Amino acid sequence: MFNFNSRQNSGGSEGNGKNFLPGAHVSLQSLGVRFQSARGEEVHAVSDFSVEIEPEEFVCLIGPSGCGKSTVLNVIAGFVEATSGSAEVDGKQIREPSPDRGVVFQDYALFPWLNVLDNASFGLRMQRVDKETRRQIAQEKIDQVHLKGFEAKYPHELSGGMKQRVGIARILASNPRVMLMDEPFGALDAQTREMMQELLLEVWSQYKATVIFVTHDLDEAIFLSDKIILMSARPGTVKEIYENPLKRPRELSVYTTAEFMDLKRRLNASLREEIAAAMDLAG
Amino acid sequence: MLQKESFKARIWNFYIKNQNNLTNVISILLFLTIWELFSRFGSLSINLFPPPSWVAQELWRMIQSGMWFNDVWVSTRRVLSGFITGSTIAIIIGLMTGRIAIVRALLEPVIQLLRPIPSIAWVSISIFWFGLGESSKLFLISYGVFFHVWLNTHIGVSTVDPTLLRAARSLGAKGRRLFFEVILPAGLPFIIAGLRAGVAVAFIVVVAAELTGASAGVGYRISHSREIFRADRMMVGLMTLGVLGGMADQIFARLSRRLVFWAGEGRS
Repeated sequence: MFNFNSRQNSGGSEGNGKNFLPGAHVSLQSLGVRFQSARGEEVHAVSDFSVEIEPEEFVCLIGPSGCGKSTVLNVIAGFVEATSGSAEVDGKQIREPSPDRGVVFQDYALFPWLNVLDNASFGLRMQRVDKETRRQIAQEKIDQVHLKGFEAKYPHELSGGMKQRVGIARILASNPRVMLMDEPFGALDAQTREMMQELLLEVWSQYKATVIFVTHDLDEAIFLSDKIILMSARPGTVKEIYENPLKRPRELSVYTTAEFMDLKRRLNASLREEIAAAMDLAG
Repeated sequence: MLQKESFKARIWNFYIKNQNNLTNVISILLFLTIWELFSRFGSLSINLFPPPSWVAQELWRMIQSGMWFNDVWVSTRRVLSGFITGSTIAIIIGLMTGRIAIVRALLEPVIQLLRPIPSIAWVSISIFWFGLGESSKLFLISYGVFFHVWLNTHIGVSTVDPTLLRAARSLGAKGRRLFFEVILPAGLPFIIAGLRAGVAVAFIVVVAAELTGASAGVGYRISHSREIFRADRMMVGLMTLGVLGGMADQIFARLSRRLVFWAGEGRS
């Protein structure tokens, strides 16, 4: 069932002689999430959501706004409990957050009172790794996201793109098997976003963690993913799953290929139906 | 001609550079001058409304006799002990009401009920309970300080950005470490703002507390001077309170800039 051979050099585990754990298998079965809104209404955010995400796969989740993309991510992160169905990582039920499942947030969520180095080593500190080791690991991750020289800076001294690099370095330090990314580049300008996408692919090609990436940007989804899950309007469920035909490694030139444009056209058509449905729903 | 211009330019540059200090000095000098003129030529008796020159002379006499330092020391000690007691209790309770649902449910209604009562209004009953000595003053000051520090601590730790907590938990923080290494620092800007408000209140309450049952202190000196008809001494007291309060406020402003340098710079 575990598909370790889906890609050449599936062993990020062997790359660089570093002992990375392989990406995990994520399985969601008939997942349903309901919660009370602030106004006391019951919201049916996600319904009958089933998907198998193979180890080391890069999956993008797209759908109309409010369709429950983030809710699915939050269930996998362990922030939100499923009200029905099951959510498992490598066959184990998800019960609470874990550094095994690193989360990158749209608004960065860095600790403003810690500098870059301390932000990057926060997870290791919580996991009681000794000081010298965690400094060494954090420094390695900071170098990897090209923030060398900024170790002593504080978040408020960094640009959005740099903050998000700290956000990525921070989870890499815990060597996550799943990376959950909730519109991580949504607040960045177009140029910075492209650079961050390339950086992410570069990092992922070394770690090969399973990535689940929420976005509403079709270009971003196509550029990054192996597989794109398109969600329906609320209550969100899997509408269609698209296999991404683009070869890796990818460069920005893929934007002009016929495969890219064809996939984008199909995604766009399907997404528009759901956006229309979502607007009807909103009345 | 050239020299004259550069001289003018030098004056102008000096003015631009020291504009703030200069206007501060001018403002205060102007205030003192008008005050001096009003008390000497105004309709109020000079004994009721003494000019700053008299007040300065009286201050000097009080310093020489040791009375001034003693008053300042006694009042500062009261302010400090009340402030430390009140804010310590307030921070501990605020951390609990802010983060522990059952404590919040039990304590918050009571605190909110007591909060609007001005602490000065407790003077009489506290003398009843604690007598005329230091305990009633300690009670009044810590009581006044408590509410400001409690409210800020409570708000600070109960409104920590939920995304920040999620980030911390997904990195392995839980229980006490989550509390002390995320919730507490995240609430620190509020706590320090509460302490700053608390110390201001402590100076207000100490004056009221010294109106009865005191034999020294700046507040006592002001009310005692009324009995012996010494307006110049009262004014020394008032200005002393202004300076002490201002200094305490500056300490917290500096503390805030150093300790929570990252706050107020937008979210990160």
